[in-house]
Amino acid sequence: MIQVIFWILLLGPLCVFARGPSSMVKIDGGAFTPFFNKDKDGKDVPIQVESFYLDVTPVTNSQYRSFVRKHAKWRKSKIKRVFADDSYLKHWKSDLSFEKKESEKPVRFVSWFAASAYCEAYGKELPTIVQWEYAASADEKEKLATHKEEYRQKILEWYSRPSIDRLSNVKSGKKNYWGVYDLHGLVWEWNLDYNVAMVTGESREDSSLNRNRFCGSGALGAKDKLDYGAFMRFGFRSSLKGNYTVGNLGFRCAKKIESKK
Amino acid sequence: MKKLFIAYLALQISLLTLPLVAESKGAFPDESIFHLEASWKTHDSKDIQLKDLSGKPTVVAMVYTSCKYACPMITNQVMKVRKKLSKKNQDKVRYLLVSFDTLRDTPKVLSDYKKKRKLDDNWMLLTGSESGVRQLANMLGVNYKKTPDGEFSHSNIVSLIDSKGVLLEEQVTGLREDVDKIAEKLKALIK
Repeated sequence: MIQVIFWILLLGPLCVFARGPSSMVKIDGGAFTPFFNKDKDGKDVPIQVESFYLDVTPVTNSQYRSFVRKHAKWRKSKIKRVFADDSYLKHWKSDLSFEKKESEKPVRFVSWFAASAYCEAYGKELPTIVQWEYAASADEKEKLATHKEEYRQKILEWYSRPSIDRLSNVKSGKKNYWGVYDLHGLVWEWNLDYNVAMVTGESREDSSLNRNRFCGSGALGAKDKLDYGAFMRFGFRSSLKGNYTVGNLGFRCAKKIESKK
Repeated sequence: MKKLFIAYLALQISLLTLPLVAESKGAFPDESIFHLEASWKTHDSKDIQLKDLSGKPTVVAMVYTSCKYACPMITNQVMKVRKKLSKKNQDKVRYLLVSFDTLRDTPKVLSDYKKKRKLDDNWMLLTGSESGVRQLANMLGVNYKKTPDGEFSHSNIVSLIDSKGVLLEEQVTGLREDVDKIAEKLKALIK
């Protein structure tokens, strides 16, 4: 008996650390024009994206379990409603358990607050919309592939089929140009600033920002009339609130590259 | 000896449960924004957490002091709520302005703003970290975005929080709308 306890004590912590955070890759910065970025006259306004690190995969259930093991306030039974609604981790059996087949699937039913806390615990943060869209514009061969018919078709096919019943493990698909997996085809992902699209134009004279609020007018001004996937993401984000949890919404983390001074 | 042991056991149990009792006494409801743990600095350079605001209802708005167009009007909206209360009741409420501008709105800048706008001691101005601002804005439903010129585009919302940090439903958005609802709710709270 004593021996068993000894081994549990010895190996317990190892199990906790076995599921560390995802590895990251560097995404080289560059000029990027998200579909919504137009000025008043309808001209493209490219954004200069700075280089950053991005998790190679979405956070898995098993990685998320390691986090809640250490940070008890984010467990299912402990979490405050203000941070997550009552479907938080709905697919888990209890605070620290879920069906075995879920281990390597992306965690879902997590709120923005929970996702932010996870990333923060590992010295990371959620990717901004621009960072995420930039990284997700790549296909297997090119950095910016949104103009390709093939790229768009693939995403729309994914969006048009119910995915959760057959949710795959992370890394089941192919990696993109940057070496990042599953930006499309698995779950939708939280962004740090998911809610900025809804800023009212009232506070400042900022018609281009304001125009993004309305599907119709936004669509007319949009750069790529065929990039429906980006539109759908845009609409979806603006319907969210910080404590919402959704069955096909997960997350991954990003990290700034500290400038060498 | 046996009695001693029981007494010892009782002591241990009470020591173990003491923190639980203490916790439940000061506990806030699940919906309370006081569960946010970020630290803030006040206009007089004190370090606080949102839970330190408990005990009084708070009227809160998010602004930045170098803002020329909307923010002075948001401050006016909060003042308007205040004016709808009787003199005696005005002091039973805290009026809180939280800055988006983590870089420029230092405690000194906030303190100067407080003087300039002649805000009395029931007013508190806070500045914090980027993530603290982001979390609070999320709770209050305030959307904002830093523009390349260092300004902020943001929604104009005045919110009412009760003494335990629960955000009451009534929020006033926009600059032209009236603050009657929030004032009525507030009157009911401090009656």
